[in-house]
Amino acid sequence: MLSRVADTIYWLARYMERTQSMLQVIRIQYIASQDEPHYWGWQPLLHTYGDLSEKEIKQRAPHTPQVLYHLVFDRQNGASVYHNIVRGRENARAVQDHITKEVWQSLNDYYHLIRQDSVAHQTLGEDPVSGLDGLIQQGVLYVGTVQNTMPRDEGYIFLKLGKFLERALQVTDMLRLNQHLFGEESEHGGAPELRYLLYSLLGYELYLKTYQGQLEARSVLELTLYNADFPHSLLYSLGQLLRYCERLKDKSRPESYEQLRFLIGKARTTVAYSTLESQQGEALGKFLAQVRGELLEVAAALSSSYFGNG
Amino acid sequence: MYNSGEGIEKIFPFDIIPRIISNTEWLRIEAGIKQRLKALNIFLKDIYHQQFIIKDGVVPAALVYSCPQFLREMMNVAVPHDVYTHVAGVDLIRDHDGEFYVLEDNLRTPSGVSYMLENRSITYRIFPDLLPKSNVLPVKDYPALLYRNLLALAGPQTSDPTVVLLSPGIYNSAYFEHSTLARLMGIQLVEGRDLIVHNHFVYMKTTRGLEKVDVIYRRVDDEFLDPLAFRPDSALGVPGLYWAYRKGNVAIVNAMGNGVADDKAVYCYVPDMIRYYLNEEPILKNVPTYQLADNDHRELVFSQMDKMVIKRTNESGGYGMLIGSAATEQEMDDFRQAITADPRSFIAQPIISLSSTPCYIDGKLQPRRIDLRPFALCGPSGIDIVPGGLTRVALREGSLIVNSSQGGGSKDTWVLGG
Amino acid sequence: MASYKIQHRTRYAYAAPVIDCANQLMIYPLADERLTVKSHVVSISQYPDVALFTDYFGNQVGVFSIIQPHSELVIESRAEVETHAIQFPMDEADADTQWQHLAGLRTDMAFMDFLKPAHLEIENEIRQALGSVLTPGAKPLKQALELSEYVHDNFQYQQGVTNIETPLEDIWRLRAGVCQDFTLMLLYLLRLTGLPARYVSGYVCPRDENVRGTGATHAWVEVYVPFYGWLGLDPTNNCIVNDGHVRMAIGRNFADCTPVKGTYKGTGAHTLEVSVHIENGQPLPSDNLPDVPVYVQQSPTPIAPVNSYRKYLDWEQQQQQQQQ
Repeated sequence: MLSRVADTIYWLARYMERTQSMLQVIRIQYIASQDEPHYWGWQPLLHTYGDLSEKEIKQRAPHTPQVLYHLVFDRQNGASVYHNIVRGRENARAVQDHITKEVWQSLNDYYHLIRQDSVAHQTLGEDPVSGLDGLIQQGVLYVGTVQNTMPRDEGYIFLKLGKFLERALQVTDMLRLNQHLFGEESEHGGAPELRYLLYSLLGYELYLKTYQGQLEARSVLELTLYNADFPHSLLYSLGQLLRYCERLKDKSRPESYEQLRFLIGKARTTVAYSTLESQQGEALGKFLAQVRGELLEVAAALSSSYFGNG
Repeated sequence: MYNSGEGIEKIFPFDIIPRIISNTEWLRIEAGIKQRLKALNIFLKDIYHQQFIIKDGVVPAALVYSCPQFLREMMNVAVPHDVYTHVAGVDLIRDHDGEFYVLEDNLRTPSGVSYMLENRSITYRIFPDLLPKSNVLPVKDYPALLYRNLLALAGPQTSDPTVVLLSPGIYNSAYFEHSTLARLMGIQLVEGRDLIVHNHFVYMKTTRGLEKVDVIYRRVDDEFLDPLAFRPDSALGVPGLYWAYRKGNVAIVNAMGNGVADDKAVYCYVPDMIRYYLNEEPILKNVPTYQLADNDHRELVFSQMDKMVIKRTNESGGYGMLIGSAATEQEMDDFRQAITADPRSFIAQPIISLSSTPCYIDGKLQPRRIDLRPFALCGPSGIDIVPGGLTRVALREGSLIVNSSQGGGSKDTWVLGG
Repeated sequence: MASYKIQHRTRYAYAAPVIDCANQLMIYPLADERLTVKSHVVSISQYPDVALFTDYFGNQVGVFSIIQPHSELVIESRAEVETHAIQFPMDEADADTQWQHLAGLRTDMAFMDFLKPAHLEIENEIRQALGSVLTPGAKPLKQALELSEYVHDNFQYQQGVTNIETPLEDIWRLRAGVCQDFTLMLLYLLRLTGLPARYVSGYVCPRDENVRGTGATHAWVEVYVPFYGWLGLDPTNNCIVNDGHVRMAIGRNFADCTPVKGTYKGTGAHTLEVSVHIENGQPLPSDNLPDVPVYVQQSPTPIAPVNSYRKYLDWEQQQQQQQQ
């Protein structure tokens, strides 16, 4: 497969995964902002997904519709949901010959959906949750279309690699943002942010099934890092990365494959062989930073060995 | 037209009524085009080597040297099998005397062959049985013939050569054709960014590493092909490609520098070329053409502008053209000014009443003007012309412009077997 | 006669490693009856394979590529040459005969490329200015010398006010520039006057401290003198080219003669150092300011990792492709 095509497909997957992740987080944060008496504010999200100065963040954070606009629809914000969808679609258009018509269609529809005035109107006005839900649904439709229509060829492998690399990065970053929830003081757990963190990762119900009783920071961390059945856990994503990487074995130059496999294996080992006990306070931060670094090394290896970027 | 923003492929309207050409007529067209292309390939070789035709005073040196597509870089460069134009489209029209005339040659990046193939497949679907019953000659062999010719250009030491199609990309109006041809030939469709030159060989960047490329069927203009040797701002080319070609490590189809032979002013000399190189009389005639660099011609044309079609010598796609009968005074004045400033860049031809044929428009049969572009494949073993080609229709009533980019459409072309 | 040792060093340093570098060199001294090349060695960092070609104008061109990531590229050219004094034109034929001869060259393929002046809007303005410069009816050589002196006297030698892409109209207005601009100006004026003229790139050797352009590659003009041949005129130093200049390439304009030209793919900017060091027995202080900017550009490809978000230029270029 041409390097450029693989690169484009990989990034298509990354943009779409990022879109889903962002929408889910924003949706949950919105609900929190309505439900929680002591809502902690939009600042963290504006920092992560926004393109504003400190002053602007301070100005806008108290006004939810403005925040939603900036994070979801603002065409001037290079990190907004809008831009991720645009880039995803552009990438799909560039490789139309290598994806199915249905996948292209679903992305094209997503693009037109987010551009609809009625969607912005609803999201910024009377019913933000439904507005966001509509967008999220379209993203789920994209995922289903890929599953249903894409042949399991080399392009499919790069779609999966992009998806799970992005997912792993998103989880890592989310945990880093919320590190304070897992510090030594919060042993007595129950902080409301924990619940929303789980919701953001679509893991709340699984948590309840696995750990009956009150929300405990340690258990949330355990689920999010290690649960092999939880599709948004770090270990799960790394496992999928490894699985799809192995499918590249006879499609790559030996040295490229060896290097990629090694780096993914290393990241996975870092997580698999760590223990919950060691993830206390500062140690957690260091661990997450290390994982993040290793994930970026995987991305760099893909870029140089497979995508022709030297 | 091109600038419709988001749109990539323009729909090229198809008229269901086929245009029919008898076998005897076709044999004449075929012979005429073969003769013409033979002469043009010899001309290109000559002009880039010994230049006998200039030395014998048949074609003026100034005409050749002032053509922007005459590439000094191609002087004395050996071209495999001396074939410069491997894929050519010769545009023909029928005048009121019933004869076919050559309107222009296209020796660089002629397009439209995918429509020829597509139109035939549509006809199969809507008129089943009709084609075999009418003894219509097939066009489906085009991709196989082209692929065979491309393979033949790889160096003799190369077993299992790699052939690619180099496209400017998805925003180009002919991208659909690039993608179709690549698919039908079973070759990789690439863009400039996919290729690199290393140690004077050309490679494709794949997920499996670098793969050597032996033959490039390129649909990128000469000046954009290599930012190192030509236009430095080109994002569509491959730096170093020209030198790899000179080293003989890669074959490029069509060769660079062919524009000097399909320049509309040089077109006037093609009948002379046929006589000079082949010692034959041209089978197909040129449309009478006035070179506006000539003072007398220019005066004549200025005085009869309303009966003339004025074209830029290096433009295609129907742009930069003036049709005297449909032009305003202002437009004619603008052209007069442009011509006086740079007469070498213009030619004029008397308005020909292109033949028309019935078309099915808005539920009725209506006459519309047409032309014909047969596609010729020139290879080491000779010239093949797929029977038929693309018939382009000027869909607007009364219009004489058939180009797809300006409101043209197409028809299936039937050549009947003998 | 004179002997020179020339060291020409070009160094690119990149802020971040770059890949896919393709280069073209025109740094090979042109040997002829005026120049003997005793030795010439080109060494390039990373030791790529250099293929040699001869181009349409008879220049030697070296081509090489370096695809692996690298942060620096150094090209060193060392030549030992011997220059011989020229024979000055006798200029015996009368003016009319000479001008007629030149008129006849307009249809001669060997001269056509060197006779056509660039198309400038300000042509009339320039012609008018030349009215008081050229001696009407004088022989071609005299007029050529008048034009060369005119450029030297009326344009100020100044670095930093122009660059490679400065158009002629700007040079004319600015009345300033470096040797490349002086050369382009004189080239235009000569062609406007009907004299075949070609661009020359090379080195000028330091005879004394007043010679300009010794620290870098130099540019000057060659004009065709009827019944004699090509004569070099250096408007920057206001002299006839004799045994103090060494030619590397000739052509219609700078683009035909660019000493070092290349493309690469990378994100960062590059810095460029060019130094030319010429000795004729006594070592001289080196002057590292490049006069003639060496042409390198970034290959206009999308920057990793944002890959297929096409820039408008890409789109536009693709649209422009003629599909006949």
